[in-house]
Amino acid sequence: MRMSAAIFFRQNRNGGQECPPADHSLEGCATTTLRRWGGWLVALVLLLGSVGAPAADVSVKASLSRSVTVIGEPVQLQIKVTGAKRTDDIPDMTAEGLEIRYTGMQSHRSFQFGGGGTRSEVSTIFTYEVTAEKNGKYTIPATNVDVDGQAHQTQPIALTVQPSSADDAVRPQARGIVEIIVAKKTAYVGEMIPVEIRLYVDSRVNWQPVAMPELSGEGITKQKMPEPSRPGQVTRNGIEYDLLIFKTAITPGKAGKISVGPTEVIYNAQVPRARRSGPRSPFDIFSGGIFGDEMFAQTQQIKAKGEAVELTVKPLPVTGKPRDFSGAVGKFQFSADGSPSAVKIGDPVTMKMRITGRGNFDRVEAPALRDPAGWRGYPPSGVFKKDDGDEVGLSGTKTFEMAVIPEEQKTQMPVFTFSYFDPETEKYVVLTSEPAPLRVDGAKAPVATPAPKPVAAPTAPEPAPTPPAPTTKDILGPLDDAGPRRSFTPLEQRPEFLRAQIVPGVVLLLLLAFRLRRRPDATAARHSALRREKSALLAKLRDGQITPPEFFDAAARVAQIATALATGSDAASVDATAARALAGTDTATAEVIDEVFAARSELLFAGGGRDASRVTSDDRTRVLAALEKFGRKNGKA
Amino acid sequence: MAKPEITASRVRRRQIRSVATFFTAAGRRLHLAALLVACLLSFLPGRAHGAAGPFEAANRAYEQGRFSEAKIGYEKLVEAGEWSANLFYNLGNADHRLGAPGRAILDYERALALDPAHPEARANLEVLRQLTGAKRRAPLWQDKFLGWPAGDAWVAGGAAAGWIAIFGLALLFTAKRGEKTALWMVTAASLVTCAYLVAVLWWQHQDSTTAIVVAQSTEARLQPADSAGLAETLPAGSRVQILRERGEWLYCMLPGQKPGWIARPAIERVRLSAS
Repeated sequence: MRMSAAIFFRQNRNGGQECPPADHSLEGCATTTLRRWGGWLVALVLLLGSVGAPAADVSVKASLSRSVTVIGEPVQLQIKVTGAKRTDDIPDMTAEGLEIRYTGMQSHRSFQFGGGGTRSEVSTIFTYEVTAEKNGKYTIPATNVDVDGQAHQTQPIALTVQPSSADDAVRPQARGIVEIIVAKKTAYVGEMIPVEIRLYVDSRVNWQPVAMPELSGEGITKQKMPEPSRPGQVTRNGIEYDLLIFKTAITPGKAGKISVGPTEVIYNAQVPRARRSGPRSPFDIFSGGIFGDEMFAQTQQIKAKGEAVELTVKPLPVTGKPRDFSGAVGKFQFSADGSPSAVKIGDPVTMKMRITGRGNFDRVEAPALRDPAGWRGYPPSGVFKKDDGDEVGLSGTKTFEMAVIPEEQKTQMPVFTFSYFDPETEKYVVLTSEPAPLRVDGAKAPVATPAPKPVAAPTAPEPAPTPPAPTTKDILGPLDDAGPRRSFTPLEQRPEFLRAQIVPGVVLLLLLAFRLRRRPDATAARHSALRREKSALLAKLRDGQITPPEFFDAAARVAQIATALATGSDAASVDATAARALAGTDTATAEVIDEVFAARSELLFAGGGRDASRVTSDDRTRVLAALEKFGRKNGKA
Repeated sequence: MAKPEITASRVRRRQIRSVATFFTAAGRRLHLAALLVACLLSFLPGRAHGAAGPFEAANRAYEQGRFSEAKIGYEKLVEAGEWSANLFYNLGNADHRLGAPGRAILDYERALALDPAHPEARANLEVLRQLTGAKRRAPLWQDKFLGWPAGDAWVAGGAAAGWIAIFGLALLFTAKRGEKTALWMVTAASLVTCAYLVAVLWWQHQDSTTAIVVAQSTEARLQPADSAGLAETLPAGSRVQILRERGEWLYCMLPGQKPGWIARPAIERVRLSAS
């Protein structure tokens, strides 16, 4: 009978034994030391008795915990050495493309008694962790291991590394199920169809979506996908799943059979790390009770694919298509109202038009004027508002605002029409707005004013007012008339304008010549003659030989002429009163004039009273001075 | 026999009568003034457009959404010299639809250069300036008093006022005493009007060096080199005044009232030359 005993121990790399750090008392340390060294003593005794026992065969084998793994997930590599008396060094394991990290060693010494002695052998297991950064097939090459002073080799070992998603086969529970749900199997070109992408993931898996899925498919346009909804858990085939729904809507753009999808939903799932000791079934990730514990789980990105769904698309019928059909398909209602209800010709009426319903609102365009005669319309602005609860934009209200200008007398608001195709009845529908009363004042403008509001003439001494800005940020439309041709050169720099200045210049010169060369008029001639007569009379008055009647007659005539020149009256009709009035406050002159007129009357009509032979020198001087003063004052006319 | 009494008030009445006589005569002269103004206005531009067909074809292309084709049509008319405010306005619309806001703003500016009161061009220009954030010089006090949208009619009006003032001055030397007061009033009013219009036109002609940034955005440099420091970033449609030209670089007064250098391809002058 052979008796064997085995001592298991674990060593650190240098093989030393240490007191536990917490056991610092002398007694405690001695007890621990005795316990440890006691084992060695027993082993030593048994070893001494084994001398002469035959040696066992040495075996060196390498093994992997799994031959297939995914990127980033470690695999355990073990080098097992059996039948050795001792193992010299830790084998140095390397392989191209793989990271191999030594994690520990286990030794097992066994003793065998009998057969002429005692034999002991050591079984040592070196453990490594192998990780790959890239997928592919790797080979861990044969590696030399020194055992009892002799070199032994491990056998080469293969490892297959797959991408993360390929791990689905390994982790089926983490893999989700994706379905594409299309509301209709048959539709019309342009019809907007709701689509749902549903993702089912085992409810025991801790997971989160990473990105919005992309729905592929030729010949369709897709609405922007809103945030997904998570209605809760559902049971399929006896398994509870978390459900995530992505909603969108597609619009087929061509007739025929088209595929909606496939699609791919990406999410992160918490999957457990592989255990280090021993192989483990890939199907027992939930049995260990450690799933969900982040210490033992790692986050893995999983892509779940959904199969395409076929959709049959019919073309829109050609017959019965309204002229203003813009491609709207669905079911709509239309209403319009305008304000103000009383305007002048040329003033804008703002029409507000609402189209509500369900359909492809991106193809809903502004309604058209049924009868544009007498109206001038401007490009409308459109705003779409989704209904509450409709995240995709299938149903809602599109509102258009449009400025229309009556160019003639009108009694009703303009009537607009909107047409669409109803896929349920498979017919075109034309909706017409209700005409509301409108009062338009004023006469028909001779020239249509293109601006929504009257604009000041270019020559007005104030800047032309800017027309009201459009309600949206869109621009006003093009103008039909090219308008008059103009030049960028300023008018005053153009040769034709400069040449035109010759005309008024010539006119000016002619006018001046005419004014300067024309004959004096009768008044001027008469004044001139009076002035000449006055000068002659004054010269006669200075003559000392003149008789008194001649002297006073001449003096009175001078006063008359001076008065006539000043007042424009006839000299012969001027009497003493008129002349004196002109003398004004100059009493000395007025007295002389009175005296002159009185003396003339006396000499002419009474014939005496004065010395008729001569006029004294003093009288002559006094009268002449007064008349010259009077003449200077009034004789300029 | 009672003779009429000639008093100072009577003299004044006669003077007033003579002024009335002047205005009667001036009424006759108005024919002359009207002839003068008509003569000046006859030289205003406004010839009939000889490119109605191509213009309508371009309009049709625009209405059918073929904006590139419409733009080509409008540009051919521009090259042919068939310039009108409406042509540049429609071209601006086409450029806007083709996603070239800087060029569209340039077109609207050209439309306004030809017709300063063009209401649609003004409205669209405002919309695009808001869209692009185009920069402009801050308004000055001269803009407030002299910044009217003066067109050719203002030039003709200024010239007419000038001639009326010259005629008035000339007639003052030969007019009778009673006519002179009214003549002075008319002459002075004409002189003031003429002087103001000349000032307005002088201020407006500062725009002859205006250029618009047609690139989506450009950077004005402190020196004429790409590696020079940044003077100002100019979004599409920004307005600058060209001060000097140096090869491929233009020295400009920037909207921030600082000078800077701009690469020639990034901007275009508003006013086209006849050549």
